[in-house]
Amino acid sequence: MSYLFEAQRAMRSRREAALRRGVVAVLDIGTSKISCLVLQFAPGREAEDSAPKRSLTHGAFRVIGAATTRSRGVRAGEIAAMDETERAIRTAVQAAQKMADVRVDYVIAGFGGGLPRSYGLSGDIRVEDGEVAEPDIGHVLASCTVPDYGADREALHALPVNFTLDGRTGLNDPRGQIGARLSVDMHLLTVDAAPVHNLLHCIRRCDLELAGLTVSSYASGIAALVEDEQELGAACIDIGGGTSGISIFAKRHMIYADAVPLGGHHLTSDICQGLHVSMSVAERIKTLHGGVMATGVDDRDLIEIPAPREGMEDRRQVTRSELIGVMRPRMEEIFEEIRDRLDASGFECLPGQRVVLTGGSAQVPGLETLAQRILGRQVRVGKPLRVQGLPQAATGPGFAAAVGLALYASAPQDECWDFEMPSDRVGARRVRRALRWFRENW
Amino acid sequence: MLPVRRPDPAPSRWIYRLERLWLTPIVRYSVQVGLPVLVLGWMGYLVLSDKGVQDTLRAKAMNVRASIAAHPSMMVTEIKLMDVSPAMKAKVADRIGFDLPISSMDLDLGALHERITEIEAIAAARIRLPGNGVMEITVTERVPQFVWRHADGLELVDAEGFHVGPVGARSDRPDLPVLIGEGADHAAPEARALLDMASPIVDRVRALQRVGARRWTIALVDGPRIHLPEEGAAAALARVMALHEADDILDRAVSVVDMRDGRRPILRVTPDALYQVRRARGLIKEDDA
Repeated sequence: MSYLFEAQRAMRSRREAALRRGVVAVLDIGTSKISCLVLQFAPGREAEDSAPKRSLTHGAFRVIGAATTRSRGVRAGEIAAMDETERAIRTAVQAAQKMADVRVDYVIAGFGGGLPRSYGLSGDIRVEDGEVAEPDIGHVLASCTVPDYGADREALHALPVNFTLDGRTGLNDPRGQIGARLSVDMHLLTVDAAPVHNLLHCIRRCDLELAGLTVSSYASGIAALVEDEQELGAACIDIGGGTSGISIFAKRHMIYADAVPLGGHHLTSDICQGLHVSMSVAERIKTLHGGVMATGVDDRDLIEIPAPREGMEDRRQVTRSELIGVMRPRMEEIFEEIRDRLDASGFECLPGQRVVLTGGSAQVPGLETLAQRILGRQVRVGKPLRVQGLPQAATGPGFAAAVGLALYASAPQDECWDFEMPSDRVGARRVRRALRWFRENW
Repeated sequence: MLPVRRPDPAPSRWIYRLERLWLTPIVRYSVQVGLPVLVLGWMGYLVLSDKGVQDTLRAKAMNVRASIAAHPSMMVTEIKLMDVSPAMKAKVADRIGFDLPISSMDLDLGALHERITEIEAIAAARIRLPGNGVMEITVTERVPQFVWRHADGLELVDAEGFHVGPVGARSDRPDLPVLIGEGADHAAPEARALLDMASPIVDRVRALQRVGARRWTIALVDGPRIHLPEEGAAAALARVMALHEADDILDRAVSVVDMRDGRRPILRVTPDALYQVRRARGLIKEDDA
C-alpha cells in the first residue's frame, strides 16, 4: 500500500504543479476514439482563496484546445497495440496543442478497461485528544482493513465516502469536531495492473507526464450527473465503444464502479454479420439509421445498402425493422448485464435510483425506453456538463468522459493519499527498506 | 469500393517532438526574434567589415558634411576683437591660426580659446559666433600692478604674479611700485598686501626686494631698509608701522630695521650717527681738537 501511496502522491504533486503552471491536458482513451482537451486554469487561483488546497473548490478553467481522433490499437478500453495507440495519442495531443497554441506537459488520463472492481472498506479508531485533527483522519484511513485484491491489481481510487463520529454518521469532513470514536467508510477501486502499466508507458513514450489517472466511468459520472442526482444517488452508465462503464454516486461520492466489456462495437459487428456488410458500412448504417424500438413505420422505411464494390450492381435495401431487429438483442444483452451488476452493487438501497445513460452509444434513438424497460428505473440520456470554451462538436454524450476528466482535474475529491500516512507505518517501512539495502549490498 | 490507402494521420515521433519544441515559448521566441536579429547582425557585420565599403561610406559622409559646411550661413568671414588694446591685437591675431573665410563647422573653438588664453597677459577670453559670419573675441587683459626688475631686464607683473609684458625703462611706468629679485613675481600677491599695509609711507617705497626667493626687504627712498621675516611678514610690517607712528623710526638715522628676529626689532644706526653718539658720550677723542 505504501508504494501505491507514494505513486499516487507523486501524481497529485504533478497535478498541483500543472495547475500552478495553468495548463493541463486531459486524455480520454476510449476504444473508438481518443479525445484530448487542453485546459487553461485561471491564474492566481491558489492566491485568491485562502482555504486549504484540498477543499473542493471549483477551479475556474476553460478549454482552449480540443481534438478527437479515431482510436487505434485499443481493445475493450485496454491498449492492445502499443505503437498504434501511441500514434493515436500523439495525433490527438498534437492537434489539441496546435489549437491551444501552448505546449502541454502534464496529462490526466482516463481509460475504460482494466475490469474495475469496487471494495467497501471501513476503519475505526479512537480520537486522540477529543478533537478530530488531520492526523486522526490519516490514522483512521490507514486503519482500514485492505482486502486481498490480488497482486496483479492496482488501487486507482481510495475515496473516504463517509465518516462516523460517535454514532453520528454521514459526515463529510469531521475535522475539528469533538468525539471519541471515529470510523470511516472508504471506497477502494482497483483495476488490473497490466493495462495501467501499459498506459503509463504509452504516455511516457509520448513525452508526457501523467498527473492523474482515473477510470472513465467515474469521469462520466462527474460530468453527466447533475448535482442532486449525485447527492441522492444515481447510476451513470457510460456506453462506449468497447466497454460500458457503470458508476454509482451517492452523497457526491462515487460508491461503486464497474464495467461491462460490451459496447457499441459489438452492435457494429452484429450489423456487419447480420446484414452482410463491411465494418465501415455497418458503422455508418448504425449511426444514421440505428434504433432499438421498432414501430410500424419502420417496416416501410427502406435503408439503402451501398454495393460492396464499385461498379457492381449489387444494391440491396433492408427495412429499418430488420436493422432494429439486429441491434435490439445486443442492446438488451448489454442492459441485462448492467442490471446484474447494478443489482449486485446494492443500488436498490439508495434513496434516488435514477439511471443516466451517456457515452457515444447512448445516442441510439429509443435507448431510454429500452433501458427503462430492462432496468426498471427512471432513465434519461445525459449530456456532459457545459464547460467554458468547449467546442460545439464535443458537447455530445460521447464526450462525457473527457469533460468529466476536466472537472476531475479542476476539483478532485479527497483521496486517501491526500492525508498524511501515520508516521509509524512509513517509518517502519523506511527502516526495513534501509536494512534490506544494507543486507543486499554488504 | 476499393480501400483507399490513406497516409497515416499520426505525426511521426520526431515531428511530434519538434512541434512540442516549437510550442515551447523560449524556443519559439529565440527562433522568431533571436535568429533574424542574429542573421541581420552577422550580415551587417560582414558588409561593414569590408574595407572598400568602409571607405565609400566614410567618403560619402565626408561629402555630406562638406556640403553642409560650405553653406554660406555657416561661414565665418570676419573676426572682431573686442576690448583689445592695440598692442595685444597683434598678439591675439597671431594666435588665431586659420585663414578666413572658414566654415564654423571646421572651427575648434575650444582650441582657439586655449590658444588665446595661453598668452600670459590675457586673464580670460570669450569667443562668440553671433551670426552673419562674424566671430567676436572678447579679451580681458591683465592689469599690470608692479614693475619687476630681474636679471634680464624689466617686466610688468599683475597682482597675481602673471607676467603682462616687458617694459623698456622704469620711467615708462613711474606709477607702479618695483619688485626686485628672483621669485618676486610669484610673490606678487604678498607684495600687494605689504604695500597696502605700508600705505602711510607708500610714496617713499622705492622697491620691494625678494631676498633668496624667500623673504622681503622694503627699500625706502630716504630711510632705512626694512628686513621682513619669511613667516609673518605682514605682522612684522605692522609692527614697524606702529613704531614709525610712535617714534618716527623711519625718519631717523637708521640704515636697517631688521625684523627677522621675531622677539625684537633690531635697528642698525648709520655710521655717521653712531660716530656722533660715541663722540657725544665721550668715548671718542676729538681728532681735530
